[in-house]
Amino acid sequence: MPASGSAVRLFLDSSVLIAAAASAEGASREVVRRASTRDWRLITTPYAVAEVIRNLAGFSAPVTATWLRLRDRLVLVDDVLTIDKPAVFPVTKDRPILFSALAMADVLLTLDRADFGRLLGTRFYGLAIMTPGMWLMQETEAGRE
Amino acid sequence: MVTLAEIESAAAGLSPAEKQELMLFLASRLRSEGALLPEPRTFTPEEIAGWIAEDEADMCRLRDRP
Repeated sequence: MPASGSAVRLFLDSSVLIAAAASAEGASREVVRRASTRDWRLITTPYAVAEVIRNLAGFSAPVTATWLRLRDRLVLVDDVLTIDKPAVFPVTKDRPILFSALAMADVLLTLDRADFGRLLGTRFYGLAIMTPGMWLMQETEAGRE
Repeated sequence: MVTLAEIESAAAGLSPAEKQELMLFLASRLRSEGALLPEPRTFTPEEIAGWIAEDEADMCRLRDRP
């Protein structure tokens, strides 16, 4: 976590971005909604954006329109493909997401249990990895909500 | 020498300095191969529906907190 008083950098992966675009009732959309009034910086990468675009193809026009509005609120950072630390588990498919978040963020928010399930609720070299719901609950329990 | 077992056997016979050099070579190769950006993933409709369902359930739990 950053020092007190500085913005929290939340990395949103493609699963969270898709959920935020597709549903107004989920924790992902709530994170985006609350970020504008909290000191939360919403970060993602071109790789995650490419995944969103590829996977939103089957959704209705309003979902795409929501995604376009949502995209304007994101800070786009470069993809990071390697790190100078050993990764002691297979990270083939999710490597660009995990390594970019590690380089640029305090918290990685994901709903992708297939690739990140074993890491949810843990830390990877100091990077907290959680679902949007876990993040909101943590902030609520810490009295910051 | 083409199988992994043969390569491992040969590597075991190297001096410590040569083993270190081999390790650095392999690390360098791994790093360069890892630097290739994979294709964006395509998720199944079931996966996406599962994310949305979990996300909405989490939000319900948050709203229903005493």
